[in-house]
Amino acid sequence: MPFLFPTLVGMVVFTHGAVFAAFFISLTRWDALTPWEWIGINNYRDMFLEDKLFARSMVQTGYYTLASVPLGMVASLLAAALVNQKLKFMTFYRTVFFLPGITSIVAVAMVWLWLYNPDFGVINWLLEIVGISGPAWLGSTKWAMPAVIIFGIWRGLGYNMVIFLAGLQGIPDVYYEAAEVDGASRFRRFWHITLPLLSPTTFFVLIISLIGSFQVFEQTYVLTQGGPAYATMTIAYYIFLQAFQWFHMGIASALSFVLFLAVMVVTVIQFGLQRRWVHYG
Amino acid sequence: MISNVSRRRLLKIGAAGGLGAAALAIAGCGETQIVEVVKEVPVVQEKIVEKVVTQEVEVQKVVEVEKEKIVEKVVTVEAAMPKKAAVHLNFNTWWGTVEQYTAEVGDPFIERNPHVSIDWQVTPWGEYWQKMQTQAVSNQLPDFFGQSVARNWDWANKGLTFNMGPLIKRDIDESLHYTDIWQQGRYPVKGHPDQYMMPMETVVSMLYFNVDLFDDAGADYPELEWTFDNWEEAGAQLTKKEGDKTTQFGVWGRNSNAFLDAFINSNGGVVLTPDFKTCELNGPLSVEMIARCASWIEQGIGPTDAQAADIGGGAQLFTTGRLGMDITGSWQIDAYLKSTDLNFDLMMVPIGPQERIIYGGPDSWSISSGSPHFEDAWELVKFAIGDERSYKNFPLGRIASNIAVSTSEEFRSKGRVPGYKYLFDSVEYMKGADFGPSWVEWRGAFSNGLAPVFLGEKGAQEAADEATTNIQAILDKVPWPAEVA
Repeated sequence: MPFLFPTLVGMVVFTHGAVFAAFFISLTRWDALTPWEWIGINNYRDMFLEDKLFARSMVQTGYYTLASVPLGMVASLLAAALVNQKLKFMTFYRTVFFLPGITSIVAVAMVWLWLYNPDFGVINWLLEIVGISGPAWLGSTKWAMPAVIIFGIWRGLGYNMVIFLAGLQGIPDVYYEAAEVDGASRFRRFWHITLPLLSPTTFFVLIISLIGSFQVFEQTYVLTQGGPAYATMTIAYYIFLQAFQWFHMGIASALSFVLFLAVMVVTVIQFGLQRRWVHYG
Repeated sequence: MISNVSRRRLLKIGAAGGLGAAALAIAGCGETQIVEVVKEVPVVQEKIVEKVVTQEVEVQKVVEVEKEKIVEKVVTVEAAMPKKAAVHLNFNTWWGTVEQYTAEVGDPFIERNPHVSIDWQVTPWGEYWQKMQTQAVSNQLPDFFGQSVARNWDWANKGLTFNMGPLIKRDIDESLHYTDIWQQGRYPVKGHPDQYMMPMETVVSMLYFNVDLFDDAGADYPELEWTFDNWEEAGAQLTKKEGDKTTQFGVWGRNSNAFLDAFINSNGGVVLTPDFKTCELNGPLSVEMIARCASWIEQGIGPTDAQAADIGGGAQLFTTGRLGMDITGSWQIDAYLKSTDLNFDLMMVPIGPQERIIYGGPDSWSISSGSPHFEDAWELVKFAIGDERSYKNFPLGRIASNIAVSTSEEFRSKGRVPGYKYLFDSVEYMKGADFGPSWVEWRGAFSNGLAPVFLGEKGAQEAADEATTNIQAILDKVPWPAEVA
């Protein structure tokens, strides 16, 4: 027990203590520089009744989540299936897929800013080849969020791919061999063997992707700073503005707790629903 | 109101300043310098009583003796005093270089104040405020630092900065400075004697024009008497299209404080009322000017913000020869001069429908309210706004608040383009972008609220109404000090 003490103290003070402190701060008006003022639930009330930007950032976070989570999972699964083959240089290919996740986001954001450039960016150049006039990606209120979503999916692809890959490699070959003997097509083998046996892994990826997407910050920070015209303002970015640009620590803490509750509700729902589609057998 | 300085603390500053003056005079050999000291002695000695208790008896005697003897006594006091304790000052800002500050400000200052050493730091703008805010929270701000006019009010309001107002009144001859520049440092409203930042220099907006593009289009260069009608006409001449795509824009109505606020004001429009309490961005005169910017986009002579951003923003647009004219801050001159392919010149911002208003914003220093060395920091601030500071230390495109420095031939000839002289004439028309409470926050609502207009997606009135509502909501929550609440 004594050897656990330092860790326990650290956890209680720096994790649990910080959470309790944040909840307390959410009930105050405090700018971190002058004494706090107790205002009860006013921050929460104002957030729901007066703060239009809060409502907008929640809607946009939902938009980001609904688009990026399913698309990102499908893309990761496809990538995992691709690199789960016995071919030459497969380790190299896996590394290539994993690279976006471990590269500095600021550096890759610079590359994506160029890719998205409507005048001389590669994306619009490719679209133009097939006769489509590309949009002003990051400069348009309509296309900025899709641009952020694409960037987010690309960024998270490698990490989810590795998890899916581990799941795929955990499925015994005997099932595929038996299905092959029975004459099952590749699609049927994937649908009836791979997907059900991969469901615990898929559930795990779903939960962490949902949590990650609710907290999306880096992508908007480096690409758009929440603009143009608040078009990519997500709740995590809004918390950042409230806390570290405008010094409204009370409001930022209240927003953080609402975000926490939203993530918790969605996660609990997912855990409730998982009984219907996750097979641990 | 002297909110941050107790009487005792003020007396200490006075004592230190007075003693410094006496020491300087004593260091000199001429008779005339000694006579100057004689005039100051009674005040100086009275303050020393507050500070140096051990010398009280001796100082009291000095006050009582005749003037001729006072000088001798000062020498005695000075000789008897131990050397000033070593003081180390920390400084941080986002413009200039450490080498510049060291050579042009630090070294000359330390030569006269050998007990002082200074750690100069320059942090890029992108990281600067994060760093400063973190230091503020942990009570570790530098002794003095570069202050943004956009944040001055809030920092003063939170008690982070030192009120230099009484010291300015005591130590500075305001007739030697462009004090209009200082007004933006006043708190809580313009005209108030309290001042929490000291503007050293200011930038103003200027009309930048690409000489080659004007020559190609056969258009007349901008002139001093130009109105925005002339600007618009020349913009149409400069615009080039290939099919439905514009390859060269004539003008750009920027959604920025270096252009739009002054443009609105030049029509009698208002963004915030002078007391900073009400937003009137959706008033008819303001909306008329916002709509006029939108009309440049509709006519195809100006880019949308998206088109401009795609090319890398305003600077790229201009340096790549895809924009004929731009109105932005004079900080840009240096970068444009480094662009060897760019042949540009400068003109004063055109006259608006009602009057000429030009954006101006100072580069300033503040002293941290928690600095234990604020007396020395104030001495350094005084030196930096004095006429002995080298003209070399002022970045290009800046007008020194010190008139003697700004009007010197060396200072004025730094620009290297003929129109640089209009930089100095612009001061007369200068106005800030309503720099006051919660500026960073309400400015976000302003920029984002009007952004759809500058993207060609929404009408001016609708966007202005929305922005006004959001800005007003922010202003309504400002923690006003009691005297103006």
